[in-house]
Amino acid sequence: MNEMRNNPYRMRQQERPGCTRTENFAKTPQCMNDNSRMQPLTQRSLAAPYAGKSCDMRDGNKSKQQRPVWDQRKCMQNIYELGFIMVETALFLDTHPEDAEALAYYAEMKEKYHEAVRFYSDNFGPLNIHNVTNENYWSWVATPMPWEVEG
Amino acid sequence: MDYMNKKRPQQVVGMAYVPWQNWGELYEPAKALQCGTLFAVLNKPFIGCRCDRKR
Repeated sequence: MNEMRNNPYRMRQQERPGCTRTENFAKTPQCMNDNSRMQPLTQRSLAAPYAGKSCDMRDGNKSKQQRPVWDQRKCMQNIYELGFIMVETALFLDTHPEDAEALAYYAEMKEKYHEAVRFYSDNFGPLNIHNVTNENYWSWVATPMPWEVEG
Repeated sequence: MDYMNKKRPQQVVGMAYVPWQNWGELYEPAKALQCGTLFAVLNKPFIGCRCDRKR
């Protein structure tokens, strides 16, 4: 038994942050212990943002657990919408390069889009490898894999 | 931009024309993503029957 505990392979597996085992989230570095950033698998398996039921329904933690997941989806949806608007505006500007209204609208939406991406990256983890801001830990592997995200 | 505002020549038989789009009414971001376009003039939902020519 002592040999198993000191097994280096077993220790490395527990410390690997990308693993979906819930106890691994307790072992991540201190800088990642912010509850609003990382959601253990039981919390992520909460249903859609407006649903009232989840699998982990301790009354005291109900609102605290549901709110971060809902805000994350709303922020991501906002990014999708603004990104789509930027694409549409860019397509219009391709054929109307001197349209002043379109240019002003593009500048306004660009600012909103980058603000939304920055907000999401600061609160929920990086969206791509170009914007990993955590200096102590490569948070890119700490956020859920695409196949682990609900909905 | 001036060449776009000149009076257009009379349309002739056998030529295909595409009306020029102007910067017009826009949708809100959520509605734009839902409709598939940012511009209200480009929102052409599929009805499944013959529509009025002006539509």
